[in-house]
Amino acid sequence: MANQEIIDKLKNALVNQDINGTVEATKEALAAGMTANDIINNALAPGMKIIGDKFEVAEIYLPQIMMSAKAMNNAMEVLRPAMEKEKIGEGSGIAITFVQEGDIHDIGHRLVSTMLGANGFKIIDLGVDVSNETIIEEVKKNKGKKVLLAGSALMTTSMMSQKDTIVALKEEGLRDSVKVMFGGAPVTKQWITEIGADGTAENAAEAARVALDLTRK
Amino acid sequence: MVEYTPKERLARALKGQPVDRMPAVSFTQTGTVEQMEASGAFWPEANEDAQKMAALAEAGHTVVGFEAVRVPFDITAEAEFFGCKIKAGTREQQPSVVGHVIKETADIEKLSGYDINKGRISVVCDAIKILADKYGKELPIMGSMIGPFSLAQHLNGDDWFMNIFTDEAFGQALIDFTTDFNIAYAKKMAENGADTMVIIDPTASAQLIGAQFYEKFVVPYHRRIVNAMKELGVATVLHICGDTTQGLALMEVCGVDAISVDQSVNVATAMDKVDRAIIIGNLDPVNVLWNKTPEVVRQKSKEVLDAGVPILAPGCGIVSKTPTENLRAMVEMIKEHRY
Repeated sequence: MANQEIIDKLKNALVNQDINGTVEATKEALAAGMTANDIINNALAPGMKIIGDKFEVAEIYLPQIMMSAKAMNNAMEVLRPAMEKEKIGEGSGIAITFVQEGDIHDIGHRLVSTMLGANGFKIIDLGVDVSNETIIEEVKKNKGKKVLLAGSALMTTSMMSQKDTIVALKEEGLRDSVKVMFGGAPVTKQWITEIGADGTAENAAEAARVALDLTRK
Repeated sequence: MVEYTPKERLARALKGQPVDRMPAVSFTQTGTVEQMEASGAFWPEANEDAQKMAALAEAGHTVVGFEAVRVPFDITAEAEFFGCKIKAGTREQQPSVVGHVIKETADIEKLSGYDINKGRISVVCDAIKILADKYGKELPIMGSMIGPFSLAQHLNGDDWFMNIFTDEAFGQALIDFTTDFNIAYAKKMAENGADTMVIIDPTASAQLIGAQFYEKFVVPYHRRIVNAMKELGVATVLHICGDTTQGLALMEVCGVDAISVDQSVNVATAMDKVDRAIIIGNLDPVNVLWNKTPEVVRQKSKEVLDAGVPILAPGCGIVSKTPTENLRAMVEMIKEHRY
């Protein structure tokens, strides 16, 4: 099979939520002599972009995105040894996702976690109503790796504690080891600048784009 | 013109029948710290003790002026009943579900044969009895419960969203199981005096799962609950959070009397989307009811009333720290409203 055909096959398997198909096609791509770098850039990343676009126009929903994320992770597993050889980092990085303490609303959080996972982030989902202590602990555990913090808050009170998260990161000397993005209905760009976070997004698809931008820097 | 009791008024309004004025009720959680202080019934105890639960629910009527009493104040008693790990609530915060108990079909079987008379769901039923004995002739007695789709998610965790996609047999077995439970629980609440049933199904959002899955895994199960309630003469209200605008037409297919929408929905658009269901909503519980003044509450209430909402109410659960004066301002606006 020509390389382009294998690339298309992998991309389609990803877009069509074929969790075994991505494994098979990734193996074929490696066997055909492609590098992990090429496979990611030519098949997986464009595939995930399609997923994001389809989600934005309400063509697919959470179940499909979650399955595509799984298909993506399966492909990454196959690529891992090649990535080590090529000295490519852990995909997009680690994303620690959470809903701030005092808040139990989780629709946005769920979508963002899934979209980040679908874009190659390894997700550590801390869930809802998460304290700053728990967040700091998790950041410490992953110190030295490429880490993104993605927190959401639906209520104004829980939004306030986003500021405390930044303060706590600074106090622990961890601010420079993570990129921090916050989202949620009450969160504005002005608020993000004011508290010294790195980014925000209006919706889950945009969150994935912002996250990729932030971690590439 | 006839003056109805609050109980008659709400029952009629939910059926779209003419009434003397708008009923002043909240279909979502009513407990606040100020009401706890006034009644001496505080969270988290008021979630676990029937007397205290009834006392705090009663404060919604005696302190705020709501023309109904409603229990419980959270949506975790059902998952807790089946053994899910719960993060305890505090005076200001509702409990949340943090652990899950069902991975596969065999786990569903292990949980069947439950006794509906146990656990915190039975506390809720006892509280309904206390409230019905005291107010049942005059006021609507509202019971609420989590809906079958969200309960399935509580039991199965986030894998639930993938399982409905990849393992239809399991998905249907689990949603059948949760629906059977919902019906048994709702029937018991009705036996104890509940005349209005609020089904809160936040994760069953067409915005999250899309119309196809909603049609398959939500509509038939809501319909079963609604039909069971109709047989008992109990009115039904469905509340789903988020921007449900595109899902409203599907949400009413189950036959529910009314649909409660949150603040991200435009009420006038929502009314256009439905054929029959009564639209309830949608004052922002955070950015209006909690954080603004009575004056702003009145102004925002007027906007929603002017949009033609059949029943004005909070768009989601009332935040525990909401000032009573803001809730009273909303209640006044509602009571003054003639159709």
